[in-house]
Amino acid sequence: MLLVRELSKVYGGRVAVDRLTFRIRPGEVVGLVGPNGAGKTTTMRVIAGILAPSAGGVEVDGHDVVRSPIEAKRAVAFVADDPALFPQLTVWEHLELVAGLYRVAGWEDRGRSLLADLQIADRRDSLADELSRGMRQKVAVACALLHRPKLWMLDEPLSGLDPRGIRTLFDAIARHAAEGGAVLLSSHLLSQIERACSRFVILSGGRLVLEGSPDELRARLPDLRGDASLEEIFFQATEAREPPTTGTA
Amino acid sequence: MNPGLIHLLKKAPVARLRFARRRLRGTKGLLQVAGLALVLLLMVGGNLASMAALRLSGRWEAQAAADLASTRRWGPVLLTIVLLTVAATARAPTFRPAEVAFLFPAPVPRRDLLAYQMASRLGLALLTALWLTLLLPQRLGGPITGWLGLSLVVAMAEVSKVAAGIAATAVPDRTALGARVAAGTAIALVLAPAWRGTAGAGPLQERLATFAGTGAVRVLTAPARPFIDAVTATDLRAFLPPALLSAAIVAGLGGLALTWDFPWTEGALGRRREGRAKPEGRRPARGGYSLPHLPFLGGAGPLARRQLVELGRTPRALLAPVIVPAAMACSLAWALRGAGPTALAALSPPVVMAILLPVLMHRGGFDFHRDLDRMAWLKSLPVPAGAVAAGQVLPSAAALLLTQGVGAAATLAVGDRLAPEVLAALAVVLPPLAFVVAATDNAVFLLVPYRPPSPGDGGLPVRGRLMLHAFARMASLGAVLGSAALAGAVAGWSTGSTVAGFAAATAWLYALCVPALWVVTEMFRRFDVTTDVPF
Repeated sequence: MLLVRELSKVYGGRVAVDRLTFRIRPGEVVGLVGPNGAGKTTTMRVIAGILAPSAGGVEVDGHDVVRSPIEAKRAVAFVADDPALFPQLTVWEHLELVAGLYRVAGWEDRGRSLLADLQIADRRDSLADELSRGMRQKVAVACALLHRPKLWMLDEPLSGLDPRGIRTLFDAIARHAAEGGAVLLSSHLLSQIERACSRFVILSGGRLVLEGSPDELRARLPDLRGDASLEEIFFQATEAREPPTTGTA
Repeated sequence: MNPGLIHLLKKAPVARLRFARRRLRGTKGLLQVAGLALVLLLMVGGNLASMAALRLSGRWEAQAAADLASTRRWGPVLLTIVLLTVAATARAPTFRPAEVAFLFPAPVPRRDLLAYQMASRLGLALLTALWLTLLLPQRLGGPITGWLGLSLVVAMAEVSKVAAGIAATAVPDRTALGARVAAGTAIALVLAPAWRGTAGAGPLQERLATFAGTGAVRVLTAPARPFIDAVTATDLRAFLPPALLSAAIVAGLGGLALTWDFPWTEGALGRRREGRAKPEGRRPARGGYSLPHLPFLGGAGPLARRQLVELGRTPRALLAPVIVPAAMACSLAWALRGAGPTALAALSPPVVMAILLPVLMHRGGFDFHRDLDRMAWLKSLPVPAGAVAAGQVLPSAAALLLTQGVGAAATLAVGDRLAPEVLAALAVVLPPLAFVVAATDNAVFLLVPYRPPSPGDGGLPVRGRLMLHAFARMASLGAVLGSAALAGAVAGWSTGSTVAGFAAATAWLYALCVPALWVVTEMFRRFDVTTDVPF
């Protein structure tokens, strides 16, 4: 579903992402974690086709994001960390906009169902700037799912959501994966995403330091206990001076 | 074009109307609308009154013919200067955060995004042209043809901005700069002999008029000429040919830009980031510039120091505000140089210009304008509201004072009248003036805040607010100067001493700083951090 191959991104001489390689298969929920400035958002933006890679490549559903950007983007949904909506458009008008952008025909039933699933059906005629941050986040999620993307990327999706909102989001993620979709999820709330993800990609300083399922990660860090949490794995992996040798999927 | 983009274009006026309706619901919104209406009335009413007075005195026909002739002569030159400036300064187009969030990851070709941006700008061009039509009726051939002609002028400027911005993203920054420098040098080389050829044309104004009629200038301004011909056409028959030609130029340039498939989206994202992090896209200079602490300012000290340090690390923020008014005032002073024994009196207009222009152009920056997203933090500080207000206003006043001081001193120097007593008087009078103006600007900003505009941002609500702010600054300056003059006149008349009059006027100016600061403090206290501020 997603293949990131030797991806590098350089901003004016500063390397934000350095030869990053990983893959996500259909039905997988992968957590992209790392300290601030690790390159998570940049990686997601390159996959979403917002930024161009400096080197390497990204394929989404078999489409190269540089050579076939339109086809690749059609398969992706990207929910950014800051849910920027059009302040004077209603929730329903946002869905109308997305339906137009992604050329989704007969979207109305799915739109209503998404709003109901995300518990914002009663706010469909509210203007975006009348909504709380959590509500705006839910609108962004509804917009992202409207066109039935194959790969769903969420950058820090939990900030602003209440416990019910978090549960609703995780339910939506699980449903999407169960239907054969892939999810790339970035968050600093490790204990929260630990439950939702089947595999993790840990970045530090723009480089891949560790990748695998929780069991595989524990196995690669022999100093850790067998039941070490993702948080302990994260600290062990990112505080190491040299990235441990890892195989990539 | 992508149906989603068409949906967004259709919704844009609806969204603006919704915004206006919501503003009208509260007292603050009503006050803002009333203030804006008053500004419009004063500006447009002043024009209409002057036209009526000319008609009554029987001088209208002659004046209208002279104004139209002046527009025909200088319009192409001015439009060419505007277009060259646009080309020299254009950068990647800017999109609002929601546009970035929804449109950039969507399967929409770059060409469609560009067409969308041009279409949004052209919609606004019609309204901008309407505003200009109300402001400059006597310069137009007729109200309808003038409005349509001005719409083409604004459309040309907007499309040029987009096209030049896209072209600039196709090459590295250094190459783009080199191309601009080369083009500027080539233009200067072409114009220099023509300017030298007008040496015997008499005074500056005559010489400029002769220069504008030279072959070199006429060739350079030729693309702008049909636009001005359309603006000044007095009937439909005269309007149609130049208007159609102008429309073809706009469409051709827009169409050409749409065929350029340069990867400009990353540049647009960079501009968005700059705009959000630093108002007006200022790039901080590298280096260790710092300032000593300002303990004598109490709680205001750390805040003022923070703004001043950032101001010092952003020299570009001061460059244009200092250079443009100073250069304009100096040009005027140069033209009036050697006007004989009354030279000092003749220098007054440029000095006044050096003081007024910065007030008109002042857009805050290193004060509350910059801290719109930090208002909750400012309110949470264990510092009295008055000290916060002082700490925020002082750096802005210092920047304005610097701008005015440099302009006034340069003007006096260019005019060969760098009299110590004039400089001393300015040194005493300008600081409270700058403080009151900066305080008024901040008070109005806290009352009707806006996000710093950048190309593609805001639209009419922000333009209206900017106009309201400029008017408030000028009105405060007028009120302050008027009341100080009155205080000085009363003191001078009662004591019979000019020095006493000057001292009283100056003391009054300093005393006014206290209520000005109080108003800012109150506005800061009342600022509602939960209120959403339009982009």
